[in-house]
Amino acid sequence: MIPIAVFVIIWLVFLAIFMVVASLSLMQMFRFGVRDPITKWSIIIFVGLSIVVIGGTLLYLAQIDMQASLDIRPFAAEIFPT
Amino acid sequence: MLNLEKLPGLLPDEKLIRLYRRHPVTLFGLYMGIAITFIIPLSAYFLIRGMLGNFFETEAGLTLFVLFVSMFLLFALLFMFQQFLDHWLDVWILTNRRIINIEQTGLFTRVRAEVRLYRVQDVTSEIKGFMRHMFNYGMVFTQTAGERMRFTFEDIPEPKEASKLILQLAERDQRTHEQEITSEKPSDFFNSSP
Repeated sequence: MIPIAVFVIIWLVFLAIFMVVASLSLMQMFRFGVRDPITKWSIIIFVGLSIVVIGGTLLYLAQIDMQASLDIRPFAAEIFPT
Repeated sequence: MLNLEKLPGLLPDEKLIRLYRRHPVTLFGLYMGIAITFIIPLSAYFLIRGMLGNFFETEAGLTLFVLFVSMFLLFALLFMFQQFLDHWLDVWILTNRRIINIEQTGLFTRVRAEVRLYRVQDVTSEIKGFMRHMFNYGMVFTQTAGERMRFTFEDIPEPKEASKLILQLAERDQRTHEQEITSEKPSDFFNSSP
């Protein structure tokens, strides 16, 4: 039995890595991108879509019971029947 | 951001003529990435549903899938943004006095090179391969006097027109440069020395 909280913690670790790399990429675009509408729109689209994905996931996580756990044994038995 | 009206080390009477980037077709990998980004989570959903019938009926199973898709989408988005960044930050700036090449390799390597147009002696354009012929993009090589190194515009649109333009501007800049040299008096040279 694996609690949902474990998956959420792993997700948060990946989210932190994403945030660091995304910030560096955005910094490079802000510093060296030619002043142009496409430069601005690419930043807006990237940031906007990231906010939608993170926001959507957080909204979903707010509704669930963190104490619930996943029992992988029945699924493992379905994939690898003995 | 880089303002093209305020180029670094602006020369007298220098004007921006054109800004070159790689042809949008060279971003084919990015377009494929966008398609795969949508296909993989959907395929995973149907595969899991087919193999493990009641996986999505449990709250934990659904949560695990949502977290996986969320992470997949975020990293796919980041990968695509970095691909675009790599494409968009490589520029060849052609002015009436010089060529400036700025190349971004990875996230932290940035190379800037420039050549004065009066030093350009030979310009060659090359369209090689099926895709380049179809979409009219290719390489332009500029050979400068006294140097073996060539200055290369990579996969730019309309390379023939670009090479003609560079050659015209180079000839014009050579005349301007000769006039500048002949208008300088020898006494000016000695007076200007420290």
